[in-house]
Amino acid sequence: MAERAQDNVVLDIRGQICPSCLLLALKELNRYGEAVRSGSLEIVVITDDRQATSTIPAAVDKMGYIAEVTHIPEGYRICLRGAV
Amino acid sequence: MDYQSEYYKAITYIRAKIDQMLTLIGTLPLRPEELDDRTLIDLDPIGIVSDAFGQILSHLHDTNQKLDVARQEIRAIFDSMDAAVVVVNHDGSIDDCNRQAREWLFGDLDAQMLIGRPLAELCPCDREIQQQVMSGRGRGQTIEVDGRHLQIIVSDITDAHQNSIKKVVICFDVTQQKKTEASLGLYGKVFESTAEGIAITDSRMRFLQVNEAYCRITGYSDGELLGRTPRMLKSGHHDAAFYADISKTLEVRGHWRGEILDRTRDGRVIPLLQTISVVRDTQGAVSHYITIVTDISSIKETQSRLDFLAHHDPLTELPNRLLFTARLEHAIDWAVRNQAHFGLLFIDLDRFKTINDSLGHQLGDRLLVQVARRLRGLVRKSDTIARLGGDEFVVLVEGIHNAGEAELLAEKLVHAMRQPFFLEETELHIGCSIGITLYPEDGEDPVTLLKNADAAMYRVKDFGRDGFCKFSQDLAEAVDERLALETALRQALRENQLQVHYQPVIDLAQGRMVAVEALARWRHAERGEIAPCSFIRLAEETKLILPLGGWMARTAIGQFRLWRERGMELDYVSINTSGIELFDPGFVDGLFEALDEHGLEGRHLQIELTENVLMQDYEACRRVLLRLRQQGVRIAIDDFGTGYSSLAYLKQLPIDMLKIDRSFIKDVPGDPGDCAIVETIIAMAHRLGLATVAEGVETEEQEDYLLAIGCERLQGYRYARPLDPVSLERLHADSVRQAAPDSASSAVRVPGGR
Repeated sequence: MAERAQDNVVLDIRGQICPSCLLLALKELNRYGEAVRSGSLEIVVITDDRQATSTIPAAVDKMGYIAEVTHIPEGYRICLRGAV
Repeated sequence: MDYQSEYYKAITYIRAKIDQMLTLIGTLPLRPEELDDRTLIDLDPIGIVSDAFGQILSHLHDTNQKLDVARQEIRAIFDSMDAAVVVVNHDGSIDDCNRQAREWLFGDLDAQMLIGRPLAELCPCDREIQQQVMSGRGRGQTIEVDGRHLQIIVSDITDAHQNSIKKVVICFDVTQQKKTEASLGLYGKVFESTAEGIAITDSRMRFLQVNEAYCRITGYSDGELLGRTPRMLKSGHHDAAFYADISKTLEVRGHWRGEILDRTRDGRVIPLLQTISVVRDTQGAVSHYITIVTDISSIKETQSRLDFLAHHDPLTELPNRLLFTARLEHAIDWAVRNQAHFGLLFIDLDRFKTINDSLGHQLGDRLLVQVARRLRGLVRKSDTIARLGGDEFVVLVEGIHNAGEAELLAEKLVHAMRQPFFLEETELHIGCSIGITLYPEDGEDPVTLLKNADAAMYRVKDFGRDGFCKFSQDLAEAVDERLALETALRQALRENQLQVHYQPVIDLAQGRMVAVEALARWRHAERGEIAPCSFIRLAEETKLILPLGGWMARTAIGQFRLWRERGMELDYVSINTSGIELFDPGFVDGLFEALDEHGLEGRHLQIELTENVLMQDYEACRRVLLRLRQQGVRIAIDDFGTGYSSLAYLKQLPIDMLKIDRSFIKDVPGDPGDCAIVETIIAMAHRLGLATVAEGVETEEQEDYLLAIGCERLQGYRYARPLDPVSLERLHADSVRQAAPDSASSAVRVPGGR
């Protein structure tokens, strides 16, 4: 499900709903945490679950990441990156 | 064991714990229809969430570390701030404060002693300000603590619900600012209130700022001045070189000070004392000029007034002696160069002294003003008329060719002075005597010209006043003679060449010599006997009468004492006293000292005054006579009947005796008129309780007549001329001898008497 594209890990979880979306996003963050925190990698979550646009940013904020949500034709694009 | 049952229990438990963890992480529980048990285990939510918690804890740890650093940073900033910061809790207790707050507000107490304690207990400012601060109304307020001015700024710290939980009170030290404001305010006041005009101009001399005084002095409003240059004040009285000099001085020295004439808005030209200073910027370029001006109009006026007063008589505003002398010297210089002539008229008012003495100095002064005005009206503008002092005026008449022209003017002046003056409806008649000298024939220097004019004037006085006299050579001789006599008199006094002679006063009733009158005699080595009338008058004019009179009094008193010791029965010795002596401050004490020295009483001395002396200054005369009378000194009026005294004085002043003038005695009993006068005097004297002495008795007929009308005391050549002490003593002894066997009337017959 997850594929790497250059410095981004794109996680397309369309069709999933929370809390699965959150768990899948957290799983990727657990895996690439160091790289994301250092700024060398960003995780891009593509989702069509509206709830995920609030649960994912709220959770990653507590972990010290930044979530940036943008609306895209397929649903939502949530970009997770380390806090500068 | 029922594995199926246990499996469900385990799965249920796992799902519950996953939900619990998901709740903690802020999301919804997992629904079984969404995730079957196998997928649940594969997904490993517990592992994912645990890892996420691990990251959360790590992030929290990092955050806490950053917060610690940040807190330390804030603390460092907090303590190093140049402002006092106090954080106050909602309940008014101190939550925190910085170093500066402890120093400025809390007397350097430790933070531990402060934190948690109520601000109200510790804060030095008053309760009202504290309340204002805590209620948020104290923003911008300034308080003073230990001489330090602090401006307060309060910020609220609120919770999530916007409730105020703390206040941050920041106090900035504005002491220096206050001082600067105060001194600026003071400078402003000085600028506005100073009497000197101050103008600040830019480097191109355009007015930037002017004070009220500058506007007042120049007459322009600041609106009219600002933007323009001081050139608008130019009076036209200075040339370009003057202004160029100012510019150059400013350039070289940085300031210029001097007097300048400027024109005010209303066109007046005023003298100003002006100081201009250059102000330079940090690069040394001229940035401003500061001009300070003082209006010295009044100083200039005072100067010219003082100058006028130094050269003019303040009463009549005529030139005074100083200016007159300068003009006279100038006239001489001019006359020398141009071989010209000029005249000098020395004017002395007649009878002015009498008016001044009888009517008062105030009226006398006003009369002098009128006299000056009248005289000024009669001379040409080119002539100088001056008041030399008292009632003496002098006119310098330039551009004349002979004495006739000066005499013509003198005649005009004499005529004008004869016309009455009116003061307070009083008609006053004076008149004047004028002496005239001409340059160069009557003198070639100021002193000689004035002295000779004065001498010519005296000649007029001698001839009955009210006229003029041109100086002449014989007058010059008279002046020289007078000067020679004065010198001789000074020498005579110094060298004791004078003698005192004594003339007896006879009391016919008692048949004896009762007193003697002391009279000065001067026998000059070359000139022989000099008549008392000439040298006494000279002594009075030169004030030599003071040492002469003093010497006379001491000698006469000493002689009287000697005679008494030798048994001569004399009641008193009489001395003549002039006005100059009487009004001399040391006169009375001098007499008392002489009496004391010889152990005599006041009653042994008599002073003789003329009526005119009494008239000079009644009050002063009265004071002196009363002092003499208190000591018993006798007071006689000499030459009675010839003066102008008011008869009322005889009653008011302490007078003992009238000496009837010889001119009335001369023709009695033959002349009925003189008899009437003498009889009247004697009758009046008796009624007033005054004794009388008849002077100048020469014949038996006179003696008989005087005795018959009640005048028993007599003096004259019939009995004795003034005699030296030895002769008088001998005469006294003879008269006593003759009187002894026969004490009938006319017993006193003096050998040598006429």
